Amino acid sequence: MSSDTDKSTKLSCPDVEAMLSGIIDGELERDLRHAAELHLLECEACRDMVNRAEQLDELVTAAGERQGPDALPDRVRFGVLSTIEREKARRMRIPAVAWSGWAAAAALALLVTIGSLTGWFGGPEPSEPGARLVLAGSQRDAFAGVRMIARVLGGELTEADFDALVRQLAATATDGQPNIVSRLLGDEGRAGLHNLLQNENLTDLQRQVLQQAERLVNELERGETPGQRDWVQLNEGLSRFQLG
Amino acid sequence: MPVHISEMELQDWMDRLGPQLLRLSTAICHDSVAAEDVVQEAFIKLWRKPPDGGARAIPSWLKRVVTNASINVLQRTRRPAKLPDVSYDPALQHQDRVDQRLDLADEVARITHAMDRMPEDKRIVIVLRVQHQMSYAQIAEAMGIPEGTVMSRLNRARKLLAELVVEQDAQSGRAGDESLPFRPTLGQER
Ligand SMILES: [Zn+2]
Repeated sequence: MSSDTDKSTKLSCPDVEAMLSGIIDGELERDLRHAAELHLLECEACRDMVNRAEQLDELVTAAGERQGPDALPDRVRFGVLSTIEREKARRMRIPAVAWSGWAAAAALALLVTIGSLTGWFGGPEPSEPGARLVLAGSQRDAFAGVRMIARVLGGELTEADFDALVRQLAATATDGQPNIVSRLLGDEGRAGLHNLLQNENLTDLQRQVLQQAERLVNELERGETPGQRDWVQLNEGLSRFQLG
Repeated sequence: MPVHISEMELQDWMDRLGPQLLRLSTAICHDSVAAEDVVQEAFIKLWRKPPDGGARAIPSWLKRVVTNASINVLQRTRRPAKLPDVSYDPALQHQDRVDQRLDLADEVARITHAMDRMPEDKRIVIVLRVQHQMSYAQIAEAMGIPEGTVMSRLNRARKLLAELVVEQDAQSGRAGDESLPFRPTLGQER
């Protein structure tokens, strides 16, 4: 540190006390800080005062660390993501896809995304897939699924539609019911998925992925366990739609 | 093109700063539910219109937004002021020093209790500076006060906090002035 401050004013103890916070917070301008340091070198009482203030700060810091959660609650994260998703949907000017088809596709995305995010594919003791999916689902995972499929289809949703879907997904993800396919898709949703496949505007890739999805849903509904490779394929197919 | 934040980046910011911002807001407004709303709104605001200056500007921008909103919550729901009568008793100085080693949890409870008894403006300035490492400039901006007054405000706040701790200790029979950073009477050299 340079010492070109010979003419710096000498500080008294009350001066130092008045700038105590500036000293411990490192917020003094250079000359003042230098003068304060000189005083502290010579004055034990003020050094003691600074030490005590720093000890108090440490306790205040510790107190701050002990209050509040370690992670952002799902409620907050979900609130943020669903709001921006709604705003994006409103901004999008892409030909709308029928709601029922959208819901079906979103449900599929939920299945796939939860499967891939929770280590289902490589996880220990694979059991009955439907149940595993439901139990493992968090709101965040569910939302990621919705978002992904929204990108795939570029569909437009009303706010009410969106809220209803999200509620449905969230409820299913946490209520421990194993029949996720029938709950989410239902006859209507199945029909929607089927209708969506008839849509002439689909790209080949979209059609391919949706066909595979339909096949997997059929297997699940028949109580069969689709092969792991089928899910991986579907997941990869969906991820290829992901836009930046 | 305006600056834009992808959802992926937004998720990262929520992971990295969410818990800290929640603690900040809770510490200010004393209402964990309201704090969650405040933090949620802050991230939505970030997505809608991120601050100029790119990623580096985001943490302090978020802190400022959360601080402002939390202070607003506090003002809307103003809890009854319970400023205690703090009169420092010089006799305390002469009490025998009992060498009590307190464990950290005890110390923390002691501080938390004392902070809860502080008036809001003093408590908040300590929260912002000591618990959330905000600079004086950031504190001034967040609280809407001149930067030049932050140091004196912090001085008064720290002094009061120390006095409250001493007062509590006296009431609970714990002796000593060891956590009092300021001499009891300002400006008295010895
Ligand atoms: Zn001194």
